[in-house]
Amino acid sequence: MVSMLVTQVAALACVHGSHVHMPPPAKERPHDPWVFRSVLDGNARVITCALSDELWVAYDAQTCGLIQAWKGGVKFDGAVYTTVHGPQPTSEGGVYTTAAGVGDTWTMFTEGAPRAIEARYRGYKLTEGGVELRYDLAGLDGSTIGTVREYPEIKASRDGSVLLERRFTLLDLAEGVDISLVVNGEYLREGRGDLSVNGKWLAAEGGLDRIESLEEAGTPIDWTRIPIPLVGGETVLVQSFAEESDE
Amino acid sequence: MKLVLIPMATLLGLCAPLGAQEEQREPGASLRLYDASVNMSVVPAIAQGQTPNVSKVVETIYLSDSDDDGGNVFGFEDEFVVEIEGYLNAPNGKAGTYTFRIECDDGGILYVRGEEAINLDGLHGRTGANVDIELGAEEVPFAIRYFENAGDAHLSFWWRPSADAEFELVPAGVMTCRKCEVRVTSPGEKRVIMPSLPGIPGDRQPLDGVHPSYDLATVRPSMFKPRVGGIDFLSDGRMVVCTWDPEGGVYILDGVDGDDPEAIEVSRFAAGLAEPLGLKVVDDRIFVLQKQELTELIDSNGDGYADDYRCVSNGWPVSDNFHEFAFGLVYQDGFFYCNLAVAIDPGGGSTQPQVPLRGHVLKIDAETGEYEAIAHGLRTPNGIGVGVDGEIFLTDNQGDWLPVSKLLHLREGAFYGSRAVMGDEAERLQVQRPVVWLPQGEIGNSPSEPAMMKDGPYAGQMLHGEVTHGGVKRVFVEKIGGDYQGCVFRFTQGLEAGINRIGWGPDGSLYVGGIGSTGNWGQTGKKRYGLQRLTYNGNETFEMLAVRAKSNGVEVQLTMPLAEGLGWDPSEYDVQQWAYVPTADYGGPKLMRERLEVASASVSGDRTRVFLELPGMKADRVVYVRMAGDFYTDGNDGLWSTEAWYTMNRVPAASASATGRVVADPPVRAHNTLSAREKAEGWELLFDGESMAHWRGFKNDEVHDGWAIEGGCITRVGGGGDIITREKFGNFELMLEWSVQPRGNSGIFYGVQEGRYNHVWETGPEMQVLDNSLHADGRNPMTSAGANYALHAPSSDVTRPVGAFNRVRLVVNDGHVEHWLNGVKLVEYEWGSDEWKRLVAASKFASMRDYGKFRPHETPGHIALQDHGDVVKYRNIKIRRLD
Repeated sequence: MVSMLVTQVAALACVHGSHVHMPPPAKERPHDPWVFRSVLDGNARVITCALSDELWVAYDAQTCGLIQAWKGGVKFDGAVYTTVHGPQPTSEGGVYTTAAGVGDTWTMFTEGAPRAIEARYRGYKLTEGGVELRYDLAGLDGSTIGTVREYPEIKASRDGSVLLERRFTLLDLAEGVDISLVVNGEYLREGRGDLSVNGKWLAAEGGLDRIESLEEAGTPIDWTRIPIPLVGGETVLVQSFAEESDE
Repeated sequence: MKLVLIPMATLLGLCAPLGAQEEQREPGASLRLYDASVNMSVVPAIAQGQTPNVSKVVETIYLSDSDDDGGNVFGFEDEFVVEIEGYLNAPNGKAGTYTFRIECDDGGILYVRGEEAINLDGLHGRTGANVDIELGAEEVPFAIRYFENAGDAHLSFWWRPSADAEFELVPAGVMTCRKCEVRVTSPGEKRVIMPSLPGIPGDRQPLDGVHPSYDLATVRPSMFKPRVGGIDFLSDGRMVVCTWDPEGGVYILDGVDGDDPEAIEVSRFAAGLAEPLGLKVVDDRIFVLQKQELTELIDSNGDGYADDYRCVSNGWPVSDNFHEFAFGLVYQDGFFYCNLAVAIDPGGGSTQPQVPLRGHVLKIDAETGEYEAIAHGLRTPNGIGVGVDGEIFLTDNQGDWLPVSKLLHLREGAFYGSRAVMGDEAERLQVQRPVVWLPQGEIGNSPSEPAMMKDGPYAGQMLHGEVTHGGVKRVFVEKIGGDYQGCVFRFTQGLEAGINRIGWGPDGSLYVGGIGSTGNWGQTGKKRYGLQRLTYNGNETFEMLAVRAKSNGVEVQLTMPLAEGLGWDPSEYDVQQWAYVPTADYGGPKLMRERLEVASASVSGDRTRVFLELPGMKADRVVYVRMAGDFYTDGNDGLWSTEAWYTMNRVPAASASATGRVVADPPVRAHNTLSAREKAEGWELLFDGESMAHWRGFKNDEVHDGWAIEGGCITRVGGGGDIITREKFGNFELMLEWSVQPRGNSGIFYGVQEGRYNHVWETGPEMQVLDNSLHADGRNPMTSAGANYALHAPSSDVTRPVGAFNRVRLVVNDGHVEHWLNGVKLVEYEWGSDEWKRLVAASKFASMRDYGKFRPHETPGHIALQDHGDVVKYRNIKIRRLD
């Protein structure tokens, strides 16, 4: 594998040559810039993080949810990239998980009852080699619910699977409110990976079996909407991907 | 020079037709040679119907007149043209990319599939160039056009049979040609057509250089190639630019006001932005407009690079259409302003349906990010900026419901015409008129950012960039009936790229950012990136400063006074008007176009204003004013640009201030006189309109009957020879005017000696006097009007219509020579330099031992007017000694 650091430097040189001062890269990433805004796969507002050759993640910068995690890269096509009018960037490679609809969504539970809320994208910050994505949560009536910071990063695994760690920090959460991130768990049902919340693995600890039992017993399970409760302070969600989808 | 291209079909059609049967091929290339017998400097076209002197199939292409090769090319040594045509075939059917090469002396052009592949045109020694050509199952048509003027002749065509092979002559078999039944030849000279010279830059065609009142500098190191999407400055003078490129970067440049672009420090402050096309610095805070987001870039840890990409506003509706650009960026009173382009299909039509708010102007609260759509009906509004009176102005690009591009004034609630979003519902809306229409291809194509103009006499007007037509345009604006309307002028070209963004630097310079892409999104022949600086140098430039609407015409204001006596002749102004009517079609024609009678032209006492009385002028028209005559200042400055396009939305009501004053008895210009200023500057008349006392015949004491004084002109009326000044001159500056009959020919010679010489041209160079349009010499730039005959071609054809007078300025000073005609410097050379000697040695003058031998500053000489057998008139002949 070509050194990602070398690739970065070469990429910079190709664009503007070595005369331009750049911030030193804190970590090896497969693309420069490794966090970027663009249209992607027909979605207008996307922020993509090229975490590694094994893992790229794209978030909807409108709904503030993960819309895709995949292995590969992006085909940068379109006027600004290739001078061709019409096309827009598309993801390339095997997909670990993708959006069912608009990607992750946010839900609030008050007294056990779910209520839809709105996430407002507030930008991102490059911090110590990583990235902090920022969202404000608000009720549909405009009321302030809280602030979320998400830190996506690739983590090493022991079994060869690809680990996407998503660390969430909730700030200024309104009283009496529970927040859940609703993720697409299709890849779990398909047996292509696992998911952990604060170290507790769903599949490994029989969670999937329990869900399947419920399903068999007649409880309708929407695998595309698996609520992940986020507690005050920090929640660490890890999505492990054993293999990509063929689709 | 613009070439006259022979279409491939015509080229191939020179072979006698085969009739209805399928074309056959034979190995080799088809060669035709034409004896031009005329001095050439570029590959000419062969006139229709000319039969070649030589026509044959050649197995390889190798033409040379070296002694080893027989000393001639099919019997010809100089002044011939060769045209070769054929087809290239993959060797043994092996498809691939092959490298081909031509070498030639003098010029040659290789065409592949009808397109120019290698251009080595011009006068030069043996020169070569390569091109890669893909060969496959289909034969690939090719052609070579070549000329030999004088000296060595060479043409050869090579290829590499494989990537690691040496070049060898392209063999028959790889080359094939049509199998002709008959190859027709005939002896004798053939008619060739020399490429026409371009006209005067700035007169019915784009300018070709930087505005003389500005100095241009490049403000980027050579390795930094920004496609500029926005320009602004930090309070410490550093420039901030965003780039519309795959990186989506924001760069900070330190030292852009310096002299050495390589010393400019460039830092990438941010990257990863989505097609940023707007940037604004507010209190040293950097805001950038991405395609779908307004973002603040913050360096929170002080390391000089942005780490915090704060989303200011992200909520307006968008789709994934490639054309949904957001253009910006203006900041005013706590709000940002930007424009949203409509979605379009790749062919150019507006996409249906559109998401809401496309084609709108957004007003975004800088603190809360809340936005409001405040105007609509735009299409591709790639420009927003603050202009006159602190108001915000926009530009919009031609398309459906937009006949030509335009400059607009932002008004809350305004509708500007595009129906892409509202469809038929928009029919009920009133469309706000533009400040100026920008006629397509004449003065506009893809206007970009508008801004105030701050310099010199232009202060208070507006400028805007142009991506495709290029350069920067200037707009004079006035209010008529409470709304802005005005006039657009050419301002500057000569920049390294089409201009997308402009901004004023703290040093007072105008910074211009270039861009380019495919599909009419860039200026032909320019780079696709650029960053330069225009600094006002205080030089005066003679041009139209403003055109103002009056109730009975227009008043033209000039930057400098006209020379005394000029400007009064209505026939010297070309005024037209037309209308634009938006339809669903992409773009629109000039409608109701008519030429306006100029009833009178009245020049102000200070000669800086001319009122043109236009009885037929109407509202809701573009009024086009062209100063078509010979206009110049007392210092002989010519017009920088001759045209103005005034958008006459309304005609002012008659009033003392709004009605132009007509001078009842215009003065008659006095010829063959000197003004007080001219006398003070040392000018002397060589002709006072009544006597030819300063002249005599060449090697004759008197002027013969072939020259007479008619109508205040020295006129050649019959045979008898050239006339010369009685006096000899050293260094001098000569002014005169000439007029020739149709097909007329004459000349102005200088440095002329008598003695043992029988002709003025044996010693003196000649500034050609000619009817370019009809005389054969006009087909060859080297012998056309204004040329240093047979040695230096003029840079353009600036002659007036035959019969009109053309104004000469000839400077000969210590060997430095300038030929000016009608205010344009056409020729400039160093008399006696090595370059001059080389040209003389290769010309018809090589055999004249003493041609050009006597440079006036060393050996004063006569000035001569040539008798070439045609009627020619000379007047206003005056000279100033420079010794």
